[in-house]
Amino acid sequence: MKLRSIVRIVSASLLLLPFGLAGAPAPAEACGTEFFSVVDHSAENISSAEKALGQGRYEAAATSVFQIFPKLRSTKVGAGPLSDRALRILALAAVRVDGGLTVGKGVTWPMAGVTPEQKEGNLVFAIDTLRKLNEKRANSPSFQTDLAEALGKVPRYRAESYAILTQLAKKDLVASAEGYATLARLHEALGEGAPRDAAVKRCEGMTKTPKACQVPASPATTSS
Amino acid sequence: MLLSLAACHRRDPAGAAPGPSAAASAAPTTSAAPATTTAALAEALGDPEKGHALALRFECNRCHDGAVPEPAAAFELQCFHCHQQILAGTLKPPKRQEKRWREGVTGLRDVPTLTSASKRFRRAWLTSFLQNPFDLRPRLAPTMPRLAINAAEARDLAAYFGAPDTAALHAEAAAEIARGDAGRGRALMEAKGCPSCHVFTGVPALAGAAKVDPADKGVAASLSLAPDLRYARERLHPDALLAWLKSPKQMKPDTAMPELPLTPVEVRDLAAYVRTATLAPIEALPALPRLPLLGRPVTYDEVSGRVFKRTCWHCHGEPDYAVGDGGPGNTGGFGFKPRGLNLVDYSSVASGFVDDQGERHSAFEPLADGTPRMVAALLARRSEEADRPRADVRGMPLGYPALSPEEIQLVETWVAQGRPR
Repeated sequence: MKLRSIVRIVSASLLLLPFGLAGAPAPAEACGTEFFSVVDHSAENISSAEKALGQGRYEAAATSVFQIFPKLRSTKVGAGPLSDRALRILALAAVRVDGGLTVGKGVTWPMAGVTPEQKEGNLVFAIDTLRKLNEKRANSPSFQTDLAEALGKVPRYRAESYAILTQLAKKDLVASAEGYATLARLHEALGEGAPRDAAVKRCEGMTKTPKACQVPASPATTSS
Repeated sequence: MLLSLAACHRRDPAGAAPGPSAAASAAPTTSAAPATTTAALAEALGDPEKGHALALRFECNRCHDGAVPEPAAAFELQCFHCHQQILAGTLKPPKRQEKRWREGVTGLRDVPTLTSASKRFRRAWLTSFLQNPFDLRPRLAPTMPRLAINAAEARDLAAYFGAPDTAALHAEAAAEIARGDAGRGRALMEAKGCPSCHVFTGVPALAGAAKVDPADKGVAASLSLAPDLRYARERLHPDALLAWLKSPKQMKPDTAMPELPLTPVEVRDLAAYVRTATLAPIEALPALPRLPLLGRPVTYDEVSGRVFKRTCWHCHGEPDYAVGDGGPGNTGGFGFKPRGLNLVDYSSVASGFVDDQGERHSAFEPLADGTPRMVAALLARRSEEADRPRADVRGMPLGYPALSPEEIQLVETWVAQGRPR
């Protein structure tokens, strides 16, 4: 670069320097300093995705979280509070469609839930995720209920699901309608009529879609 | 509205300042076994060093400037400063929330600082007030919250914040005030317009209140922060009262009280009236009605919109959305252990709270009388306002006016209906 150009650049920088300094933040005072705090929009978007999940719009909820976190499937639990919430949303969305969730078109690792193997894989992912979330947020009935709901979908985990949900139900701490619906189905499978009815009633009270609380009769009860 | 706020007073000075005040005012004497006596006296008088540590533990500086020499709490924890900045327009929420935030921020705008507290307050009064706070400022909606402070902690905090109560230290000022003319003092109070800002519960109605627009920003803080003069004789040592009347700003540079040019005789007479005016006893508040359950369905959305979201979220919030801080009622603060009570969504509300042993309980578990715990807490706040605090249930909302009978009715109906979604 020619010396004249360098001088011009330096001179221009010196002229602009006062503007740069004026724009620099003033030293902070103990209170009353003007500053601007902008709420992270990711939080709002996650909140919207949670609402969609609660409204039964599982695909929309899952699509949203992939838009916010394109690498969500490879994000570890504990990476951050919002990604944890996104993982929870994705996991529950998968659970609530029995693993049949296909979303995330265009991301590196989308979710596909067409074949039985894919569906089971999604349920295993969901259980694994919710288990880790539950460990991270120990003693949270909300997370325990989510985990139990997921466990209840897979036959080999149903005993664990039953143990969690009955313990929570004793203390009136089952945190979702889906949790009660799961408990109702587990009671039904064990032939426990009265507890099943009580769980259905609680489920219906907690949901805006009572259909979700229906319990298919188990083969044992229909075989007479 | 001012009258209804004034009706929140509950304290009778005859019953105030219990416990250590006698020991605190007595001149210390030496006797046999001095170590024991000294230790006992120290405990009775309170330990200012412990008090300083407690002030940090209870996070006094989260609300009160001038409480501790340490730097202010992180901005996210400063309730009042955050609200002040929202109202001033210097804290920019997302566009669509800006209007809602400004409209919703009606409280937590003004708060007394604790600048120069040690020059002014009687320790005995502080000890009592910290354990049993009441509505000292009738035009200020929030009150000092009822924190989990025991008697020893209150004494230590009082020792840190207050001036020594030893009578000998204040005898000269007390004698000075005793020479004052309370009758002239009352006339002066009216002439100087003190009732424009100050309520004086228990004395015959005072004239001289200038018409002040509460919306006028220039006087808003003065109106909000002016304490009820009924309690001045308990709160302030006689010398502090005299000094205050002479020049409030010399005692407390950041006070909202204006300087009133007063002669020494006028100061003495005013102080005499404040300290010696006969006070009518406070009438017991009539019990507010506990309304019957509503006869219509009540949903979670309605309860959340009218109660949880409006009143409870800040203290019982979602930490994931608030830099890890779920508020004093969830992740802890103000000296409270984390209770894990999150009222932000249905599932969280259903998840209850954590007790001292770390066990989870439903927020709706019935107490001995069958009242669901959450409802009991809302009713307990009304009891606290009527000076009948419950030992077993802390009133909610903490430090805020109790919910209206209709709001409590809504929550109680919702719970009784099985908490439908």
